Amino acid sequence: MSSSPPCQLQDGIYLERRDDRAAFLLATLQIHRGSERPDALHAIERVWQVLAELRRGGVLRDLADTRPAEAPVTAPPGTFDALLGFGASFFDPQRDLTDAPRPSLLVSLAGQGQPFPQLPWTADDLAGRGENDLCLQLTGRDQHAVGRAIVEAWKVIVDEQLSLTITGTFDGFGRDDGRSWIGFHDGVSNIEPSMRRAAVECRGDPDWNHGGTYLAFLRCGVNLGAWRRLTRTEQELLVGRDKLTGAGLRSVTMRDGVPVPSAFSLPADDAEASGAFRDPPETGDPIVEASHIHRANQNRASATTAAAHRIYRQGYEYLDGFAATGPRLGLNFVSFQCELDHLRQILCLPSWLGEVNFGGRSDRAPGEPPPISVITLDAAGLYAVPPCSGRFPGAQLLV
Amino acid sequence: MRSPSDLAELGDAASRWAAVVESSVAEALAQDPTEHIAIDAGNETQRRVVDWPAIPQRPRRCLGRVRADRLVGLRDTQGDIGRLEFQDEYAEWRMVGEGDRPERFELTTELPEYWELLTAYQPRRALAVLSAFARRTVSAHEVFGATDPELLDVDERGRRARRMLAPERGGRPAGLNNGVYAITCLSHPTSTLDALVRLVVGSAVPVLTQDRMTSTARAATASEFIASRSQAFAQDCRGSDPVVVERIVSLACDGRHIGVDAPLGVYVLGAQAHELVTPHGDPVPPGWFRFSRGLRRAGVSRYQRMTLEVPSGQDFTLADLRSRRTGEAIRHGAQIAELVQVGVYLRAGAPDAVAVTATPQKRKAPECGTPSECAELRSRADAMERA
Repeated sequence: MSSSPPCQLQDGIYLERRDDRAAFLLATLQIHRGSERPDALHAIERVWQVLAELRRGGVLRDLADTRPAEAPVTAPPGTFDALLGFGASFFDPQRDLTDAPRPSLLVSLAGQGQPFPQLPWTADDLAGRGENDLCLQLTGRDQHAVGRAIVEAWKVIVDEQLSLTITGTFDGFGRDDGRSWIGFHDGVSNIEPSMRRAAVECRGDPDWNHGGTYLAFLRCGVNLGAWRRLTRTEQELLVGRDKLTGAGLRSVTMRDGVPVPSAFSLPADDAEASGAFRDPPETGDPIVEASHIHRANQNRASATTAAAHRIYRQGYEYLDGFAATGPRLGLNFVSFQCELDHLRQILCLPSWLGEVNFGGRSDRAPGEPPPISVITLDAAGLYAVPPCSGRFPGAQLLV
Repeated sequence: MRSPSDLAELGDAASRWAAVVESSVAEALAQDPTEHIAIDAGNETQRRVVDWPAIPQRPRRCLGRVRADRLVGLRDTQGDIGRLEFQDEYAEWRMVGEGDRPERFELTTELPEYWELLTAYQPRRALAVLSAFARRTVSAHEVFGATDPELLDVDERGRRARRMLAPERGGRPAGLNNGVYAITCLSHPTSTLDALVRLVVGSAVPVLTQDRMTSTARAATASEFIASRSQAFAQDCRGSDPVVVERIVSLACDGRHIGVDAPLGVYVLGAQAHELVTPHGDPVPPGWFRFSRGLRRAGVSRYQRMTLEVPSGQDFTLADLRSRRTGEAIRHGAQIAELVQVGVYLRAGAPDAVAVTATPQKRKAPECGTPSECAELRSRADAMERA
């Protein structure tokens, strides 16, 4: 039996669980208009070098030893990972930053209305937020680690007058209870670890991304007020799980016109670690099968099967202050996939998530939860994430 | 066994269709005996849908999207070439229009065996349906080579229909199924009733494999299962076969009886209208996709044909629509086919109804998209381009 080729995926894609990467920051960067390729190449390379040095425990930019007999101040090593992505605008022929054509499905999500059938922008003027020529995903031990990293990157951009501007940042955090803001277990029905690389790693067209992947970033605002107005049963029917235990629902029976869900039993030991949450069995119950966790994985097949449309999700929650109506919060939905088509299919196929915002039946019967709209897009972007190589991932695109 | 979509047009020949299906099942079971198949599974079972995109997976993976999209819809003066070579997901289409200005997209999932029966036993009805497909009056002479098909016996009508609909390997569909005048039913040599039945029956075998990271036993993936079988009954790396295989293997590993949710057929389940944008920036209305040759009942779609065209009265055509997912104007049928979902309905019984004697699978499954997997397909593409 031959072994798999070495993994060239960039750091920051956790095919195995990493509890020491609880903080998230995604920065969007613009290469200055009119920049020549060598300038752009140099700018990205310098930022990448600074981040690489910092990861190794390098000297902080303003804390170098400048007087006799001082020791410089260094960052603790190993506190964060960095991942570089290329957005659709990078491939704009008029920019002449690369000879490579834009991968067909790497498009801007702005313009032409809402990008997915049931997933609108939170406000029209947010379209395009989350997109640019480049993105840097920083995942680290804590907010300090990733915040320091992006500020150090800014310093070198300013100090060396590099042809880059950091145009936006989006932060987030992992929860130690494995739940999302809506109170349910989240991310636990992700694909099993042995299948993740197959779901993530590109194999074919285009050649330069062979061994790399694609990143989808959807900053999904959650209307928690609307969600909390649902009963626990309604919430469970929409999600497909028992709210407290996380067990997948087995069936729904109607009693006096009221749906009563029953869940699968979970093993007594650590259910999450044992994989008991993962891919709850299909039930044949039409109400359960219309829930969120089942709609997102209709075919129950492995990542090596194309029509399974498996993607590897690595999300981080966020809290972005309060408005008069309540907290502005949600999920930084980050997914890695070998083809962006898989995400499109999940979000656009009518019988998957293409006909509902979150879950439930579009042609619901009395007693079933209303087709509530709780998720909107605060920002979004698609990026190609080339494999590790040479000066920085994707450097060959600019040569 | 009922007609696909419960179409009532076969008349007295409906029993013939039932016999054809039963014979196909019997033959498949003889080749791949299994206790898990109950092909006419009844009320004690639940419906399962398995779906996949109509767009062929292997050409895009092996040839790249641009080249594949052009080749899978390639046509010469005698009709479709790319369709016969590459449209192998139990769904075939044609584009109607001049040059690179398509005006209409038509897709079918109808099985050739059904059409052979319809044409042989109900020639008048067949001519009426074909006329609707071609949007003109189709003469008996075009289909049967005779002005009055009733003067031919049933077998002769069947033979003549077969020549047009789905030729033997190496041939090409002709006349009303060649893509120039119309598209009638599936013509790819592996998109047949027998192939579909064999796919279902051949997958109903519990095969377990050991997960390499957790060391626990799990149902084999499609790639692992197909690699473990000595008889060719499924093509790995497609969209259709692997997803059907993997679902059925998983059900078999649960010890379930598995059947087809009657009536057996491959059905058009839906299309993603939102993914097409008009020149005015609006999503295409879902009503522009027209579904036929079937029905939707109780939330279950059993259509076998779909067309997309811009209604008259608009100041643009299909060629002026853009694909939201690529930003490109519509030039190839593949750009529409990728938005169409087709599938089959199965039935699954309760778990642990059949004693599972699972076979361990140890053979390494080949990967899709590797040079070795793509070599044969690339060679066919090269030959097509040279011709």
